[in-house]
Amino acid sequence: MLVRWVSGVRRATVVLALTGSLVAGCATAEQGEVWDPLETPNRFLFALNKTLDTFILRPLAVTYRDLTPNGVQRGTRNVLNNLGEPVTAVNEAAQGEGTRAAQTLARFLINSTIGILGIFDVAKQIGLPHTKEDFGQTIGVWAKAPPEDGGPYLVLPLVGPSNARDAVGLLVDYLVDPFRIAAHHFDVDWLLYARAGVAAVDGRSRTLQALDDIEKNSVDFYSAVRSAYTQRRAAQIRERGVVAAAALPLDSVGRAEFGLAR
Amino acid sequence: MPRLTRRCSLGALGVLVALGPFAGPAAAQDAGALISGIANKVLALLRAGVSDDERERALAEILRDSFNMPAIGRMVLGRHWNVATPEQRQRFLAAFEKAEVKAYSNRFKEYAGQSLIVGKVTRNSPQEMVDAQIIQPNGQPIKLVWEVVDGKIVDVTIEGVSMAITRRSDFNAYIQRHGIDGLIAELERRGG
Repeated sequence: MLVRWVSGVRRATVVLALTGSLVAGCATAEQGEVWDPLETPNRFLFALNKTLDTFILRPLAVTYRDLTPNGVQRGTRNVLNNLGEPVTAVNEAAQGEGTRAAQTLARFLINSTIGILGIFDVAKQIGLPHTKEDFGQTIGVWAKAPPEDGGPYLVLPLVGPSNARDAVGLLVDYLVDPFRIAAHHFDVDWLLYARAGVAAVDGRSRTLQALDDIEKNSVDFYSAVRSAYTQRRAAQIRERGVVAAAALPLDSVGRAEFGLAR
Repeated sequence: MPRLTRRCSLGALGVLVALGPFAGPAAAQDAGALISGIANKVLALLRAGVSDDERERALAEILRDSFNMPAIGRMVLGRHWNVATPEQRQRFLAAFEKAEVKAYSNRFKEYAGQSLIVGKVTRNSPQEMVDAQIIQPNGQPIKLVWEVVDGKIVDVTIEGVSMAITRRSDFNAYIQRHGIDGLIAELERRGG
């Protein structure tokens, strides 16, 4: 069953890659510019997503950030992270990072039990920090192409910025997710929608500052987001194996307080 | 940015100016000191609680002193720089600088207690890459890399996103729709 899914996806990847190379022949991409052959429909979907964001997701995310106690936000994020660990472990294994995959599984077992269904990140306290890898990154690691080249840029309805590589990645992550398979099997799909909803609000609450800044300080928001997304994903693919966001000791010399508008 | 390579040892980050393997001590210190110096200047400015106009003036000075604005301007205009007339280039650089000052000034308007920690400096002649982190009162640290050439900043990369590359994409798209003069007019409007 799984094998059939994977081979299906592989076929899809090959078809996408073939189409990609065919179209690439006539593309006149400027150096450093993102390849965007579907710019017109992408801009349309971008505008549609932006409208939905302005009226629904953004207000929810702002409310969540400002009115929910920090402890609740941290707990929610921990639960979401914990639910994502199996998929991360699969991807780490697929990237040849066996040790990290094992650590991620250990995190999952510890946090699901001692950490009470993932609410508390106990594993972090004992030296197993959170990592996150998705199948888009795995394809990026496998591919011979530079990670800035993820195939044609895509704006997915409701999801937002993506590209051929990352869209295939999303699909594969969805297919291999044991929680999706279980929820589907036991006919409790509503749990998946609930999880997706909470994840959307939590994720958006963490991009408020950055996206507001890009929107305010760009002359063409669509292009700025397209470029930022592509660079960010490339950095994530290159930084494979780096433990995520390790804070420097706060008493370092050379520390200077620094203001950024919230 | 391949320079943003894997960092296996976390300890190395904690050192104020941990020198990269190719780092000349004096030069590395200079680039790190440049960034710390700017951060301290900005902090002093925010603490002083000056008016919007004064803050803008002070930031304009910092930008002129520490950033190679003509080089950044040329880079972000990309291929359009070559077809621009000398007069357009001059107007663009002036408008771009003003708009950037305004943007920074607005960013620093509300000071929420973040701090900047300068990390390791990697020298890859003529560039020096200065790692830094913004520590937020609660939340994830934000990773920055400053690119310094000949003692002046030419780019800032935030969580893997280069401001110069993003700006170039942004301006390029605008120019395709409204022309160089359209972009200059828009920047002048924003900076004014």
